[in-house]
Amino acid sequence: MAEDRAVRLIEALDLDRLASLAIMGLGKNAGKTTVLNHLIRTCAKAGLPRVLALTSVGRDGEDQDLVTGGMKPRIYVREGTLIATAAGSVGKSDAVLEILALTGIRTATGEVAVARARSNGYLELAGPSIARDLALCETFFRREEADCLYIIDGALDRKSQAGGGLTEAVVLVAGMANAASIEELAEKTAVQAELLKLPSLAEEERQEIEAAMEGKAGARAAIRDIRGEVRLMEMPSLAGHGKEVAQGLAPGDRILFLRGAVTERFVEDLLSNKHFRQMTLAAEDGTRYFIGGRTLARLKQQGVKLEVIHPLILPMVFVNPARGGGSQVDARELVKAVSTAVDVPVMDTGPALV
Amino acid sequence: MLLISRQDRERLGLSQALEACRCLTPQGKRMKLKYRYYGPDEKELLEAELSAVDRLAEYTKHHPLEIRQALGHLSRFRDLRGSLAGLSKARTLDLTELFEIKEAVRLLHQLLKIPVLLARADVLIKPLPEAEALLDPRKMESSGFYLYDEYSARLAGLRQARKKVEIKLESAGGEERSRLLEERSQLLTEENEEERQVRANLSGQLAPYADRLSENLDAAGQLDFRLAKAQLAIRWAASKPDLLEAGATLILEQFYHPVIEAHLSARGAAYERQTVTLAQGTSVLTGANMGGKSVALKAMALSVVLIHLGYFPPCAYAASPLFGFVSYSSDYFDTTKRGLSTFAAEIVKIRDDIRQARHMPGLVILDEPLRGTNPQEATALVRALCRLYAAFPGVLVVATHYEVPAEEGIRHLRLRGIEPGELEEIISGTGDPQSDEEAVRRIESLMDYSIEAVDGSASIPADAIRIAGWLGLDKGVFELLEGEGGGADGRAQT
Repeated sequence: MAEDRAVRLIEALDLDRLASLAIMGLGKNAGKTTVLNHLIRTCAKAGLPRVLALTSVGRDGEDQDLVTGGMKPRIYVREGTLIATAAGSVGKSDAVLEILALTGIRTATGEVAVARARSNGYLELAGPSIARDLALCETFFRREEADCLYIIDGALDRKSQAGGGLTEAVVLVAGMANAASIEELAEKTAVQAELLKLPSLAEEERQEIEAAMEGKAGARAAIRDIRGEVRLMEMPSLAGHGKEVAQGLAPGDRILFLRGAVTERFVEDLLSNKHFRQMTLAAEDGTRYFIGGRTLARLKQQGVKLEVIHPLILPMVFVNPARGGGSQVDARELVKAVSTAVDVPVMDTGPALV
Repeated sequence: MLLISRQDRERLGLSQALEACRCLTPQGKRMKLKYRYYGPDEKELLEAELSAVDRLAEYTKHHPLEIRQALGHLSRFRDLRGSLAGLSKARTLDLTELFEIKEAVRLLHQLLKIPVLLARADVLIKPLPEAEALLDPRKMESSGFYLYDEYSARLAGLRQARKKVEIKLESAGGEERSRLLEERSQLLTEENEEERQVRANLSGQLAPYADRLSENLDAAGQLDFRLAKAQLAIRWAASKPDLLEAGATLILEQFYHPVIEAHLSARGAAYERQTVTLAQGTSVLTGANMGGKSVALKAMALSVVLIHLGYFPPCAYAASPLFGFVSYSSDYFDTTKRGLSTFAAEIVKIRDDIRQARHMPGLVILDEPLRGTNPQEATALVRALCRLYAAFPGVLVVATHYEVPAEEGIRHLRLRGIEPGELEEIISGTGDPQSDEEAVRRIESLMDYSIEAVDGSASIPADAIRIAGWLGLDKGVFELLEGEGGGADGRAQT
């Protein structure tokens, strides 16, 4: 039975075909690492012939589990798995690790090493924190195993300056730790799922904007007007420059592309300019929108369309019934509530899966 | 001995020019940054260095595949000073350090497989079969590293035991599971301790090879640096300079400054390469304003410095005696740091150069010395300087607007500048320039930057007033020039 379930999950997630997958949490302690552990076991149970290649998005030394007081969750890897983790974590691993390469990527706990597990065992993943380095890890992995399934535990946070399209697909983990009630969690999940599934800009628009931004590291915003002309705005980061970008919008502008985190505050600033109405707002990918349901509704009300440069596949939402402090909500009720709110399959992260 | 100040080096654009010399290894990069200067008593060493670069440049042209391979290996070398020092001090290395050492040993082994390249580069890498065997007990020749079971039967046994427990754990529950978890934890503790022991043993066994490995890494750095020099030579179309006996005449054919050339070409302007010969004694360079004196001096100095640093200079052909020092001073003196006036700073520099030049052959290049001084006194000082250097063993090149008569040991060189009549032609023939840039461009297009030797004394060029007029200097100024050698329209009265 367990094998059947595992095979079905592999199929649902398309894990025998996907090149890469990110696991994104709705908030802190959503249960991302639990999902990663589930996926690893699932692949083993189903006999997936592909090698898994794992890393996590680091938090630049700010250990997220210290913030909430929980213990840093470890993952249990199988022999043969590839990992990218900081040298500081290598020594703490239960699994026998074969170091394959040192990446030159520096983190607070040492240089990121690419290794292969030579035995099963627990380990801690502490990967890079910026997009370019996450892409570099994938390059190292593919050098070892061209057909590996690259899985990133986590998504770029709002402080990340740039990065999108790091993975082909993303699964969303919504935990009861992220909301006060089942209803609230369902609502928040629906908003996040909608953002993750945002469609791509039209091919021509996407190409023009990408061409205009190419090689311009300081360009954070690109505005395409009705004649198809693209102008760029340079600034150190999007954060704190919402008004500046809003003031840069003129009648006839059609698309505003933002490279970086699109936050509530930024969107508020944009909405203060009437020229922003009816425009299309685009981000690198769905994980780069950090906005809630009310802001999303206001954007729709103003006729603003949301799109992305790199569309993502969202094959599944995982829900985690564990609240902080050890209590749980009813898993079936939770799955049901979230299922009615989103139009992708919803699964419980609980022990039933394995 | 490198007797060129950091300030001079920056003004010369030396480090910018050498950005194009790309070393891949940390060892090679460190060598490059040392700016190793070969003095007059190191001619043989420098000859050997340049010959190695020459052989590598030839090899690079005909063996692109081997070069690509070598560069691929070199690009993976890392700085191992910390780990090697650890080995020498009997510290137990961690897993990543052991990996780094294995990787270095493996890369050195790969380089040894291209013996022709090593021979051309005159680089010796000594095989390290013992260290290789220690780090690759399975003789897999793979690039990865872990604590292999072969290192310790006990470690292998503990791992096996843990594996069995883990298999049982997959299906165990309840008390059985707790017992197995406890057992696993116990085994892991022992495994960790045994791993530490294995690392300690391995570190101890590797320690005797630390010095040889360190020498090999330096050799790889040397190969890297020489290859980078060879590639730079190809890029600059430079050939191996001839090293001449002391006192011989310095020859630079078609020399240029690569940074300035790139800069000019970026704004669509052409750079005219120059040829010059500089005999022992003093050479006085004259030429019109905007005639390219400063650029010529900078490029000359750069080429000579590069030869002394073991590079092929950016010239079609170069031949030079070795100088004990090269001193280059532009008219710009940053004196704010030392609290000296411009004049004082300049005199101090000239004084120091003379002290050096008295007892060793130096190349001293002065770009318009004493330009901010009373012209009569300055002329007298510059003439005296020229006479003094005429008798010194080295070479003084001085660009000046002050008149210096030719005499024994003082030769004159002239930048041709603008042919008489040509400037008048564009001034009268075409309209006023649209912009300063355009005016400058038109003047540049008329300039002949070639350097010619002049018999006797060169006349002092008098294009300044005409050029000032073309650049739109206020007519009021020219009106007041009447009778002073200038016309109301800015044309010189000749």
